[in-house]
Amino acid sequence: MTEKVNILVVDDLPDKLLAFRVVLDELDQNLVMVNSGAEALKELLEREFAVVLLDVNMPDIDGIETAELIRQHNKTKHTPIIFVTAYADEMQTARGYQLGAVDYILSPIVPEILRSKVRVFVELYRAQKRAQSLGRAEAERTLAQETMRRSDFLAYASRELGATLDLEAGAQKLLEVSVPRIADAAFLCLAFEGEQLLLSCSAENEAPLTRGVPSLHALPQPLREAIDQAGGEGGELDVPLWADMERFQEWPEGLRSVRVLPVKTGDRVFGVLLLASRRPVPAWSGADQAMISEVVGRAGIALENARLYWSLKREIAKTREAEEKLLEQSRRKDEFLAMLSHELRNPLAPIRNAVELLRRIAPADTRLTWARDVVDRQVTHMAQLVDELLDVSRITQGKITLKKEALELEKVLAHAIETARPLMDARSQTFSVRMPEAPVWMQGDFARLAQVVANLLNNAAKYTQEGGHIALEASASNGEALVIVRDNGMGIDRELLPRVFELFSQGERSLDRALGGLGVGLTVVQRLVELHNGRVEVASEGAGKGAEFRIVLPCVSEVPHAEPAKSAAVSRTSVEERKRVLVVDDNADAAESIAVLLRMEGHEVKTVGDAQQALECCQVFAPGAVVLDIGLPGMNGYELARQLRRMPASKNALFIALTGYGQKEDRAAAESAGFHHHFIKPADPRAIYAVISANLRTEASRSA
Amino acid sequence: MKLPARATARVYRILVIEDNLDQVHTLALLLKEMGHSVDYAINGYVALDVARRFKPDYVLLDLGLPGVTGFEICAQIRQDPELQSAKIIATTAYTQPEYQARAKTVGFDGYLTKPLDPKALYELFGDTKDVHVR
Repeated sequence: MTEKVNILVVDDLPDKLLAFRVVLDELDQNLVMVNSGAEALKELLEREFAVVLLDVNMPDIDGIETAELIRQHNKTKHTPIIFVTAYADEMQTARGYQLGAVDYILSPIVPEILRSKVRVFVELYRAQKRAQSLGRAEAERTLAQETMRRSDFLAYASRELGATLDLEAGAQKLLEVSVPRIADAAFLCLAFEGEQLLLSCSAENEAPLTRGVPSLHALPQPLREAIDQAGGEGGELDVPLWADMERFQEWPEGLRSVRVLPVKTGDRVFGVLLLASRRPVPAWSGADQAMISEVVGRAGIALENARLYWSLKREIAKTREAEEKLLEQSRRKDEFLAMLSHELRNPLAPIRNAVELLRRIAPADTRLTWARDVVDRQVTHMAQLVDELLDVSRITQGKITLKKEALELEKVLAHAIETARPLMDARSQTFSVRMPEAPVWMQGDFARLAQVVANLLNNAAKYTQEGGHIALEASASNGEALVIVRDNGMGIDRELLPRVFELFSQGERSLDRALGGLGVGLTVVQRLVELHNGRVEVASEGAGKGAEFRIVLPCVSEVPHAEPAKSAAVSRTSVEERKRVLVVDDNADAAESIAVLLRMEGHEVKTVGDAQQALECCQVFAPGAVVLDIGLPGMNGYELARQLRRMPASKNALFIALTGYGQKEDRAAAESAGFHHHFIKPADPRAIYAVISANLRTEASRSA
Repeated sequence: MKLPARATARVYRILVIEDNLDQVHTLALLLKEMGHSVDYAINGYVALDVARRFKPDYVLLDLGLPGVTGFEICAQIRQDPELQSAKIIATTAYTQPEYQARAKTVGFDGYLTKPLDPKALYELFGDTKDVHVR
């Protein structure tokens, strides 16, 4: 029974000391635990230790300082130190090695690694002690040198092997570490994920030479058998080489023995290292054997890390490649759609011209007229489908820009209803509408929002049986407008429900396809709503149970009073503001005729039909000029002008009155209500434009 | 891009430049039927010569032409002092805003998407015979 050796563990944390004790107890050696550098020094001076495990991160004197102090004493100058650290970087800087650390262990510790590392030093220490007990000073000195050499070598090997995450570089390092220090030639075979890496190295030349090896079959038969055996069982074995044995590759002459070592992590063998020597078996002392096993064990861990990293990188590369391929395919599909819809437009053009020609020049004949109308309708329909296709390709490519303006939801809905009504009528469906109680204003693209609602209404009409019911409801609360399109039609299957907004998804495609369509409508709806910072949801109880689509859009529901800070900014930029003109007239045609001219001159013009709408609209629109019909229903123009002039958003506006009387009293009333100009209906739009332009110029020269 | 303001019902000289023969023939015939004076060119090489000879009030110009593109022809017409009064309208299947913007830059007065809506033609040129009932 050999005597127990001393192992010193230095760590300031009691928990960690306990962990070390649990792990190292298995070695059955004498463990000495201290919790500071000072105590460690005291212990070291009192007795001899095989190895010191030193925590780098301690209060008062830290691990590095402690190591420096240990090195200053003659007695402890050569005591092996293993640093325990949470950061490999601290050691990679080589400062630890300069201080004579033989190794480091990463915290949290891996029990297996810790034990194997400590075990090596216990072996080395014992060998040293045995030599000492022979009482030969010479041997002692040699042994001490040997111990130092081994310690240095282990430190060097650890550093080299841990320095790379590249598998091939790591394998080469292992050979470079081995030759010529522990072998005259080396050969490494690694197998991973169906691939083999074979490397060979010999000390024949000054510098170790590493070469690729074509195949394991190039090895002599006894070696191949030994490799199979080591690879399978995971144990080490020695193979003698005979002179007449077939020479292997570039290995030097005179090799007499080969040690075959499995490269493994845990129980998994993933490679074999051959170390060839000119000496006969057994070539290495016990201490050397322990050191070599240790080096190969560390190489196993380093190479396993590199392998994991390599396969992770390969996995990432594969995933990225697949993603890029998908993106590329999707891009080409989008391009194809754009090209297709463009190419389809070209043949439609002459057909449409020809139909129009027929209409003009063909003799009156009912059958001819009917046939021409068929062509006309179908070409028109075809052109719509092509537009839809083009639309979806542009929207999915994100190539669409919204023309945002302040708009009223009810007008959007009315426009959409107008578009969808013919289909509902043709299918004898009943239709109910509930508009919001108060006007709802929002920022958006009128045509696109109308398209969204019209698409949903058309869909509802298409997928609801003849005579069914469709409802449109709109409301607003908490800054959100809600538009619901509901039907009692064929509904949506549960499986399809999550996918209805995806491109080209449709309900079961029936052979007759009486309703037609490309399956792109809902995709367009979703993308357009999202472009408006809104969202769209769908609900259906299942097939045959109808469907409900809900669109939520940000809006200005409760009209806020503009903050005082803003009004200062308004007056400064008033020249810009004047370009927005609000026309209030209950006669829509009259309002529009003024609006058309002002728009042609570059103004942004809104028309509304009553005082309530005007008040709501002004908060958002902040007009620079207001053209007001005095004879409005409900609140009259004078009263409206007074209220508008009290609102921050419109108080600096130019006010223009339109009256149907033109008497002195009206003119006076207009002036007292704050109107700047007064016109008698029917007013010449050019005259109105002229006063707005003149006002603009005055503003410009004043601010210049 | 906005179309030029609607013209009154008078006889215009309209030049159609377009490489699709069916399209160029039907469009020319339709415009003649509306009472206008029409000539046409079917590629980019002859377009400028025909324009110089014909002196059109309006040019309906396809963008994708073999030889010289519509953009180039438009620029050439714009440089000719004799053709300064001609209004040039792009007629194309391309609807991309990029094309519309480029058309505006090189000096087009309007932009019509194929297939042309007869209504747009009536709005542009008027109908001297006034037979359209839409």
